[in-house]
Amino acid sequence: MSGHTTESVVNENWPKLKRFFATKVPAAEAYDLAGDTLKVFLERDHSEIENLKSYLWGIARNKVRQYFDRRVQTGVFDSSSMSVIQMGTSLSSQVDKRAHLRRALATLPLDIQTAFELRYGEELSIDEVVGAMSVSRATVNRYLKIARESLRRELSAPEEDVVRAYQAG
Amino acid sequence: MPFDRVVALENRIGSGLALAAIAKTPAPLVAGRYRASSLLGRGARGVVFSARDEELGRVVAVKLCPCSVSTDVEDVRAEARMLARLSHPNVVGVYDTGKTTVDTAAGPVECFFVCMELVRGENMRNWIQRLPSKRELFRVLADAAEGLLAAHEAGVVHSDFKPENVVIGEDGAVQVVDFGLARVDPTAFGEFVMRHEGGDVGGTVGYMAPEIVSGAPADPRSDQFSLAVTLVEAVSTASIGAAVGPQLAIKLGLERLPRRLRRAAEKALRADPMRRHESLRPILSRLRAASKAPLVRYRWPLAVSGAVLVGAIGAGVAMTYSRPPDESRADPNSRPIESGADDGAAELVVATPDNGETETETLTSVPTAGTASAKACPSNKFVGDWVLLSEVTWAQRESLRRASGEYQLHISSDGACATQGKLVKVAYGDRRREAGRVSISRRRSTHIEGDSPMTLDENGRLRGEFSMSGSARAHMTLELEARPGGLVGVWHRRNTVGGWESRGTIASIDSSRTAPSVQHDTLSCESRCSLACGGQSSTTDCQAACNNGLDGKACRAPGSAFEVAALRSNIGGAETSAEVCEQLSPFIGGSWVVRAQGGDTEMSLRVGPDCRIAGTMKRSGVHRQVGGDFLWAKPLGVWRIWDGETQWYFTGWGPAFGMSSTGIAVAAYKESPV
Repeated sequence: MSGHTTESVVNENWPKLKRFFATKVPAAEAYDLAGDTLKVFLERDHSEIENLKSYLWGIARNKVRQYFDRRVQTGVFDSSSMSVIQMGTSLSSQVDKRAHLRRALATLPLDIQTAFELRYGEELSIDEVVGAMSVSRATVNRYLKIARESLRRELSAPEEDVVRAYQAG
Repeated sequence: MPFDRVVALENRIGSGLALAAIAKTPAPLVAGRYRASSLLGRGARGVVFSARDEELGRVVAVKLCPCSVSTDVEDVRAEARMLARLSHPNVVGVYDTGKTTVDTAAGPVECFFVCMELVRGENMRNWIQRLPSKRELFRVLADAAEGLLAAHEAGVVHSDFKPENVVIGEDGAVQVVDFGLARVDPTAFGEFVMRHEGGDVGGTVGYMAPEIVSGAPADPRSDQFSLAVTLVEAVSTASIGAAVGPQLAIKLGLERLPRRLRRAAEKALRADPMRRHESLRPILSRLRAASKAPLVRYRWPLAVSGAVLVGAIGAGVAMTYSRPPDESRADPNSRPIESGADDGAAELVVATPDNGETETETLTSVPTAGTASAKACPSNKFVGDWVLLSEVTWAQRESLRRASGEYQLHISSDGACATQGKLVKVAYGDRRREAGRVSISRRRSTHIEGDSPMTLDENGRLRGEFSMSGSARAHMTLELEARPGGLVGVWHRRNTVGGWESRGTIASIDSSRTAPSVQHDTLSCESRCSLACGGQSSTTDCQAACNNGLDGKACRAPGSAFEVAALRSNIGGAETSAEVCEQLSPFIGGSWVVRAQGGDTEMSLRVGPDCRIAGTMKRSGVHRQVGGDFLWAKPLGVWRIWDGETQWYFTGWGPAFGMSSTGIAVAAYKESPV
C-alpha cells in the first residue's frame, strides 16, 4: 500500500472495509466506520508501520469493538424516504442465498467471524491476521478452525460459497 | 449480475464521499446536478443517497437503479411525471427522474435515477420493530392506503408496496415511496428474480400479487393484495417461525384483526384479482375505523419475524400461480424461488366468509434465521397489549379473598429500549378456577388506570409501579415474567384511601378468555420472594439469596418498618356468624410458622364451630396452649391469637401478615414461605 495515493487507497479499500463492517453493523453505520477507518489510517505516518495491511485491519477491528462497546439502542435512523432493504429482516434478503450465507457469518462470535473474514474474505496472510487482531498465531488458527467447522455444521455449504458471498457485498 | 452493479454503484458513491471527507475533493455528482452528501443505504435494486440539488439549492434524496436492457424507461418516466403532478400528503414528492451513467470501478453503469423529497424518519419495517400500538399501526396503514388510493386515482400503480416503502416521518406523517420503480429493473432481484414465459416481472416476492408473478400487468388491485399482506404481517405472531408453520401463522395474523377488517383483508388477499375489492376504499375505511377503536383486548404480536410469514404467503402465491407449464425447463430462473422451493410446503386455506368458499394455496417456507432486529431490546418480549387476570393471594380485606380483576396492560418501548406501561383495570368479579384456569364470574366493570415506566431487572422480570386513579385510587406494583404462552407475575396493591393492602398473582389470558392459575412454585425465586415476604427488607434479602443460588429458602422476619397498614386502628368486635366461621376453618386451621424478629414460632390451629380458634404454640422450645378469635372489622378480616402473654393479630391466609400486641411485625406461613 505504500506509495499509493490517497485516492487509490480509498478507492481500493473503502469497498473492502464496507463489506467487512456490513456483516456486523447496520448499513449506515458500516459506511461511517469504513470512512473513519480510512481517515485514521491515512493520518498516520506510514513509514513507521511495519505491515500496512495488518495496521489497516487492526484499525477496522478496533472500530467494530468500539462500536459494540458504546452501542446503544437507537430505533430511529436518519433514513431517507427510500426503500432501503434492511439486510437480515427483509424477505428479499432471506431469499437471497448470498445474504443467507453472509448472515451465517454474523452468527459466529465476533473475533472468530473477524478472523475468518480477514483470512479468506480479504485474503490476508495468517501473519497479517495475527497483526490485525493482536492475538497469537495459535489463536488465529483456532478461530479459523472453529469458523470452518461451524459453517460446515450450520450451513452444509462449501466454504468457498461463503467466501464468495462475503466478497460480493 | 444486476446485484453486482448495485454494489459497484454503492462503492463508487461511498468511496467518493470518503475521499471528499478525507482529501477535501468534490463529492460525486450525479446527473450533472445532484452532489452526494451521504449514503443512506443499498437495496436489492439500487442505492439511495442524500444530495444537494446544485441547481435549486435544496436537499433531496436520490435513488440510483441500474438499468437492464429490457427496462422501459419511458414508461417509468411517464409514471414518474404523473406522480410529480400528484400532490398528496401520503405520497412522497418526486422532483425529477431520468437516465444517467455512473463510472464505477467495474465500468460505467447506466442508471435510472429518481430525485425525491428527503423525508426524515424511518421506514415501516424499522418502525414496526419498535412495536407500536395496534391502533397506531392501523393508522399508519390507513394513511398509506390513502396515498395508494390517490395514486390509483391519478393512474399510477405502485406494484411493490411493502413496509420498506412506507416512511413514517419524525412528525408521524406517513408517506409511500418508490411508486412504479419495481418496473425499472426486474432482473435486479438477483437470485430471487422471477421469470415467466410472459417476461420478467418486478416486485418483492413476499408482497407481490399472484397476477404479477404470472406476468400480468399490475393494476390497483395488485396493490390491494400487497397492502393486505403487509397488514397481516404486522399483526402476526412474533415467534411463529418454523415451529408452527405458515398455516397457523396466517391464521393467527388474520385472527388478530378486528372482524370487519379481517373480512376486508381476506377479500383483498384473494388470488383472483377480479374477486378482490373494486378499489382500496373498503379496506381503507376498515383500517381507519380500527385505528379509532377502543384499546385492543389481546396482546398484538411482535412483528420482527413477520417477514417469515410474508415470505410464506408470497412464496406460496408465487409457487401456485407462477410455476411455468413446463417444469422440466433447464433455465434455473424458470422456477420462481429456486432456493426455497424444496424447503417444505404447507397448505394455506384462506376462508372467504361472504360466500363460504375457500381458496387453497400451496406455501413454501423460506429461511427463517436471523429475522430479529440486531438492536432488539431485551424487554421486547413484553411489548404489546395484554389482558391479564389477577388472583388474590393475600389481602387485608376479607371480601377480596376470592376476587379476581381484569387488567389491560399496554407496554411500549422507545428506540432506546425505555419501556413504558399503561395499566387499566377494566373489571373485577369472583374468581372462578376450573381445571387450573381462572376466569371471572359476576363480572363488574370498573375503570382505574395509571402509567409507569417499566424496568427490566437482572433476572429478566419487568417491573412497574403504577399510581392508579379513576373509580378508586391505589398504588399498584407489577412484576412480570415472560413465558412462551404469555405473561405471569405478581402484583401488590395498596389503596391510598383506607390504606388496605393486597397481593397476588397475575397471568395473561389467551383466546379462551381464561388465564392459567399461577402455581407459586412455577414463579421465579424473585417473584416468590415478592409474593411471600413481609416488607421490603425481608423481600430484598430473600431475592439476594436467589442471586446467590440459594433459591430463597425463606423470608426472614419482617423488618421493624413493615406494618400492615390500618391493622391496629380498624379492629372491631369478634365475629361469630356460622357462615364466617365455616369460611375461616380452611384458611386458619392448620400448621403455621410465625416469623418474627427474635425467632420463629410454630403454631397448630383449628377453628371451632363458634369461630373460636384453639391450638398449640411452640416458642423457644416451650409448648403452650393458645386461643384465638376472628375479629370482623369491615372491610378487614383479622384473626387474633393469644398465648397468655402476647396477642398476635394476623390478616390474610398463607401468607398472613400482622403484628404482635408489643408492636413487632410478623409474617405467618402455612408451609415453607418460599
